[in-house]
Amino acid sequence: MKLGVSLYSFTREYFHRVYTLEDCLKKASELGYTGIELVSSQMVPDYPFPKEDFFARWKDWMAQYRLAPACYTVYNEYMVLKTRKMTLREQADMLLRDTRTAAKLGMHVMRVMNLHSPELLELCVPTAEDLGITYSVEIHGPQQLNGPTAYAYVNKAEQLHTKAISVCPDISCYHHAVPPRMIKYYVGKGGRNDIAEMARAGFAAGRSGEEVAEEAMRMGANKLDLLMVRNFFQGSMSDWNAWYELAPYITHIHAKAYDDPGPELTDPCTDCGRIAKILYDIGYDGYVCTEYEAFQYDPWWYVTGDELANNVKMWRKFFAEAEAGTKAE
Amino acid sequence: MAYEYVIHDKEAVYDLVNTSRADWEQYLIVDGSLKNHEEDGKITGFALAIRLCWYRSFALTLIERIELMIDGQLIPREAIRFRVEGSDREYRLDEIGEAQCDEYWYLNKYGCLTVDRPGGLSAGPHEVEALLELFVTYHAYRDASYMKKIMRIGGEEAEA
Repeated sequence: MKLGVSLYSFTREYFHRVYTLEDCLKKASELGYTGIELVSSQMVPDYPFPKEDFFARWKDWMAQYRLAPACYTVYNEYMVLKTRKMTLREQADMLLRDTRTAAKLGMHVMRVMNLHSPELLELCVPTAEDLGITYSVEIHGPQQLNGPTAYAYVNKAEQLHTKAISVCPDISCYHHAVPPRMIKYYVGKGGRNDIAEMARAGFAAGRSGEEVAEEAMRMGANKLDLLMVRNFFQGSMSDWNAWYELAPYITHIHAKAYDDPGPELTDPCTDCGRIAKILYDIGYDGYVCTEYEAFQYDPWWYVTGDELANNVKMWRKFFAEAEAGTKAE
Repeated sequence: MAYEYVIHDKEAVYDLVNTSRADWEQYLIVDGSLKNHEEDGKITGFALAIRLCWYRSFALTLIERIELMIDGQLIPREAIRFRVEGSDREYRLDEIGEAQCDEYWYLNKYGCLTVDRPGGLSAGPHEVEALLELFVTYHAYRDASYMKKIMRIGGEEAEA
């Protein structure tokens, strides 16, 4: 099990031009991450057609900062032609274009989303197999990790006898609480305190998002209040057995986080220690990549310093505990 | 179908912005970016820079709406030209079509707007309002940001 970071975590610094792509890599290395998830249309210069010299620089940076390419994230921009939705063939060609880029960056995992349908991936599987790449489909809250989405892809992988289609659990599928930073953000923006509290308690009690939104409406929620409630329910509480069921298909883990785990190294919404133990248990040997969402909900300051240092410490501690526990058994 | 403006309708802007996920509307209008624009030695309009309020870059074809108001006056869409900072390609908003599908407005670049207005703007202060709407494919819904700022030509400004 290896610890990586999605450069998405440095979005704010990149947006404000405080960091270049190289600065993001350097910071990731200094913090202690060893794998890099790169979001294609976020930081790749000249995307969708990066120039040859970029690939050479990327390789040099990986060596210089002792990093490894862990994952390349792409989106299915099916409306990019503006006036009509792309055909399945056109969408596949777009994904194949990005797949070749990923391979040239030394990536073996591409994170895709459920807008990349199983049928679309099927068209790209032969090329992905040739290039040694797997399409790791992100399963994100409020979906259940072992819900119908994951199985649509697992079934396709089995039908094609391929490892080029796999699954990337996002740990938002294991939220037991609404991220405190998100609550603070929406209330600060003008969301009603009583509705925020009702929704927070509702999520923690396992109520459905629809039911809580209806209650918010009865309380007289306005558009902002409803947006707040909808966002509070970005996470889900999946069955823990899902990890074992999906184990053979898991090729990447998105360790989403919103809040500082602090010196006590505890994430307020996810039991990361339990996840680390399970990952050891199932023999997972890929990357656990932190995707730090703090910048989205703390728009006025930079967040990647100490908070990510604590994130690294937290995962290292849980990896070590999991390893010790496994050996003891 | 005639283009329908939103920015002048406060209620519609409120509804649009508060059904969106964009979280960074406070960065939409770039501080200090309001300037008069010269062509061939004549002031032909003014320029303003805006930012994406999303976490990644967007193809120009995914820009659904850029609208501006200055001192409460709506700027006609056809008077606005758009260019990505660092690019030499500039478009009237209606010129952006399929041919621009591989052209990206990068996350770390300004969107440079040039607005036709012979003689430009007075030194100010001016009340500048901007609305940016993007089609966010993976949410399959539109995402809008709105900001109002008090600005001076080439000056420092505070938020409205």
